[in-house]
Amino acid sequence: MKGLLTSLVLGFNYFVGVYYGIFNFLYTILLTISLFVILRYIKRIKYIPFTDYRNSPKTPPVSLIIPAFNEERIIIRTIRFALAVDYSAFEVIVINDGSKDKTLETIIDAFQLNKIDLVHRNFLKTKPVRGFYYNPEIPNLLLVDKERGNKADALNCGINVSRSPYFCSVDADSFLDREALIRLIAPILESNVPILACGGVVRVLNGVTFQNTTIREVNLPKNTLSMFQVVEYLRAFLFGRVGWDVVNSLLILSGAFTLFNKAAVLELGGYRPGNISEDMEIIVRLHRHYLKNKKPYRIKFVSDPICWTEVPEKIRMLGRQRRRWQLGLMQTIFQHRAMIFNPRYGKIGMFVIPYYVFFEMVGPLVEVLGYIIVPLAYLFGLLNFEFLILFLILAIFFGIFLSTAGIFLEELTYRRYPKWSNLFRLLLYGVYENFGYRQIGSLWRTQALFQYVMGKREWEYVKGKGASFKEKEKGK
Amino acid sequence: MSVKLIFIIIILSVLSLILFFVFLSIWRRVSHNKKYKELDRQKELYREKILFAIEGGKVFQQIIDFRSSPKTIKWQAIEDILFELIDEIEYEENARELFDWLDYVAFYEKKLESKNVIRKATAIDKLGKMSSKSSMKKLLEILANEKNNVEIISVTIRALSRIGLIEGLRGILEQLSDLLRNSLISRKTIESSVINFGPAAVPVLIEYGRKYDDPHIRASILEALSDLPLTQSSCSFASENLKNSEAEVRAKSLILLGLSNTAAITVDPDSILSLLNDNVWFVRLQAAKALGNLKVEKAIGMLGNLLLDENWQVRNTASRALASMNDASLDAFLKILKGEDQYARESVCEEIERTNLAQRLIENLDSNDRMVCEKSKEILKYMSYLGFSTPLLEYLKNGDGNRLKGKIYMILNGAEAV
Repeated sequence: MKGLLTSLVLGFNYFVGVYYGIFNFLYTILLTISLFVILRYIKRIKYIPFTDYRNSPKTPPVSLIIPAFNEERIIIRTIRFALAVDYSAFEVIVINDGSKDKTLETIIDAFQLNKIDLVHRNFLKTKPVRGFYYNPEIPNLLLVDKERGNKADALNCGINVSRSPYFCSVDADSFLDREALIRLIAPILESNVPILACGGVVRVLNGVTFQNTTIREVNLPKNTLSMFQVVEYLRAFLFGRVGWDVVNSLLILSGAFTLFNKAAVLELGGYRPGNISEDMEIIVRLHRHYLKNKKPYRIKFVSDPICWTEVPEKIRMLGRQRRRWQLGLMQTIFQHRAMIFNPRYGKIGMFVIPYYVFFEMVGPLVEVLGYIIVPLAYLFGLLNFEFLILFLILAIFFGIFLSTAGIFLEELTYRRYPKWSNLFRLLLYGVYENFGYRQIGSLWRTQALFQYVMGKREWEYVKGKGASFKEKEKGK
Repeated sequence: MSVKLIFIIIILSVLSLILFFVFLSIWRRVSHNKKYKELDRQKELYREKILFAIEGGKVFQQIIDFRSSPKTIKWQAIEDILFELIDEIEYEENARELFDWLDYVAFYEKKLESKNVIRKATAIDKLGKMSSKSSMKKLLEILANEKNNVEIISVTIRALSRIGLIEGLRGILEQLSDLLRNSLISRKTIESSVINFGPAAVPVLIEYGRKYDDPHIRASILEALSDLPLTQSSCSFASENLKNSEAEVRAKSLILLGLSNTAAITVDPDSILSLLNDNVWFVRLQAAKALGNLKVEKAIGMLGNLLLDENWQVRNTASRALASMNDASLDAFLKILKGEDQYARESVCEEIERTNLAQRLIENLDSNDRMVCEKSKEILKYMSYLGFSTPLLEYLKNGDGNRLKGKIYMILNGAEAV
C-alpha cells in the first residue's frame, strides 16, 4: 500500500513537472508571436486611414448594445461615453434587464426619454419587453425595458431591436474610448474574408480620471486588488489574445467590448440565455458553425481599440467573478465537447479546445494539488529539498517573466500609463502577484470546477464593483 | 548534464529575460522621453519659422534653414509640421512644394524599392498624404506589379486617391477587374477611396462602368457614384442598369436614383415602379425607398401592396415611403389597418410613430378637408386600438388645442369599438 502511494505521489510530481513544462512552453510561443505581431501592428496603424473611415458613408452603421441590471450608479456615464464615440453612424441601445434599483428611472430622467410604441420583433426569443423609451432630440439612443432574464437574454433583445448590420456588446460598467469603434471596424472594412467578430482591449478603469466623456488622466488604482488585475489584463490582452488571433483560434473575446456581424449571430439563433459565459459560448459556436459548413471566416482581436472597465476591489466580488468565468468556460467546453480532437474542426478541434481543456480548465486543479502534494512529498522524504526549491523558484520566476513581458509589450506599444511611478508599480505588482494572488485565483477556479461537478451552475452576480475612478469637475 | 544543472540554467535564463525586459522598458522610456521632448521643442521652433517664411513669401530663400538629413529629429519635426499644414487650405500648396524641395518626396520614393512591406507601405502612404503628383506614375507601377500583396495594394489605392489626379483613377479602374477577381482589395476600400477623387471622377467612373460587364465592378462604381455629387449622366447610367441581371446592380442603381430628388435632374419614375415587383427583396426595398425619396404619388397604390410583403424590411421601408408622402397615402395605410395581417398593421403603426406622421394625423383632425380629417381620425382610432396610443396621450398631456384634445378623447374612447 505504502509502495503504491509512494509511486502515486512520485508519478504526480513528474506529471506536474511535465505539465508545467508544456504549459510554459506554449505560453512562451504565444508571447513570442505576440511580440512580433504587435510591433508590426504598431507600425501599420500609421497608415490605416481611420479618418477616411470615420468620414466615409461606406462605413457600416453599428448598434452599441448595453445590457444593464441594477446599474443606476454608473449607467448614465456609460451611456454618455457610448454616445460620444467618434463614428459616423451608430445607435446606442440600452436594455434594462428588469433592474430592481432605479436604473430605468435614472436613464429616463437623465436623457428625458418618452415612452413610445415600437413593435418588438422577437426573432430571438427573449423575456417580454415592457416598453421602449426614446427622445427625438437624441435619435440614436433607445432604451428598452424588459423583464429580468440575464445578460444573454438582454443582448438578444438588443439584437432584435438593432437596425444595423453590426452590433457591439458593451458592459454597463465599461466606457469606450472615443476612437474605439472606428478602430474596431477597420479590420472588417479591410478584410476580404468575412470577419464575424472583432474584439478590442479591455483595460482597468479604476484609477482613471476623466472629464465629462473624455479620459483626462490614466493612473493606476490605489487598491491592491485592482493593481493585480491591471497587470493581469495587460498580460491577457496584449499577448494572450494577440497570439491566438494570429492563427484564427480565439475562443474568448470579452463580452465587455466585442463587435459582431449581426447576420452571423442571428443565423446561429443569438446568444444562449442558459450560458454563464455567453461571450465565450457564442464565439465557440461561430467557429463550430463555420468550420462545419466549410465557410471562410475570421474572428479577430485588435490591440488598440480600448474599452475601460471597472474591476472588483473586494476580494469576495473578485472571487465571484473568477468562479463565474471558470464555470462559463467549463460549461461552454462541455457543450461543445464534440469538437474535441475532431479533425472536422481543424486546429480548433485538434489543438485549441484540447488546450483549454487540459490547461485552462484542469490547470488550476493541478496547481492546487501541486501546492498540497509536492510539500507533502517533501515531508515524507519522497522529494529532494533542492528540487523542491528549484522548482518553486522556476515557477515564480516564470510567472514574473510573463507579467514583465506583458508590461514590456505595453511599454513598447501604447504606453497608456505615462508616469515613471506607474511603470515601477506595474513591475512591482508583476512580482507580488506570484505570492498569493495567483494562488488564490487558482483556488477560486478549482472551487468552480467542483461547483460544476456538483451541478451548481448559476451566475454569481458581482455587486457594485466600487471602482475608485475620479472625475475632474469642469473648471477645476 | 544533471537535472539540477538544467534547472539552474533554465532559472538563470528566465531571470535574465526578466531583467532584459525590465531594462528595455526603462531604456525605452528614457530614450522616448528625451526624443519627444526634443521633437516638441523643434516642432515649436520650426513651425514658427516656416509660417513666418510662408507668410513673408520667402520660403525658397530660407529653404536651407529647413533642410536636414533623414532620420534626424529636425527631419521628423519638419515632416510633422508640413503634414499639419497640408491639411490647412491656405498652406496646402506651400506644404506640398516644401515636401518636394526638402527632398521628402525623393526620400520616400526611394523607399518604394524596399522589400520590407511595412517600410514600403509607409512610404506609399506618406507620398499619398503629401499629395505628391510627381509620384503618381511610380505608384501606378506598384499597383500594376504588386500582384500578391493585399496591404501594399490597399495603401497604394488610398495614396492615389489622396493625390487625386484623374490619371490615377484611370490606373486604378484599369486594374480593378484583376484586383477584385484575385481578392486583392476589399470593395469597401475601393468605394471609400474613389470618393476622394471628387466630382471630376464622375465621367471617368461612368466610362469604366459601361466598359466592364462584371456586376461586382458595376455595383462598386454605382455605389461610389451615389456618394459623389449627382449628375444627369450618373442618373442615366443608373437607369441603364435597372434591368441588369444582377440584383445587387439593380439595387445600387435604385439607391443612386433615389437621391435625385432635385429639380435639376429628371428621372423616369416608371422605370423604378416596375422594380417594386422584383423577385429579390432588397431590390424591392430600394425601389420603395427611392420612390419615397422622390415622392412619386403614382406609386402609392403599389407601395400599399408592399405593406404586405413577405419581408419585414420591405414592409417597413414601404411604410416609411408612404409616410413621407402627402395625405394621398392615407388610404394605403387604412387599407392595411382594416386588414387582418396583424404583423403588417403593427408595422404600419410603428412607422407612423417613428416618422412623426402621427403628429400630422393629429393636426389633420382640425383640417378643413373633411375626407382627410375623417381618414386621419380612423387611422388614429386603429392605432389606438392596436396599442399605439402614445402620441395621442402625449398630446393630451402636453398639447395646447382644446378642440383637438376633445377629439382625441373621443378617439381614445371609441377605439374599443373598432
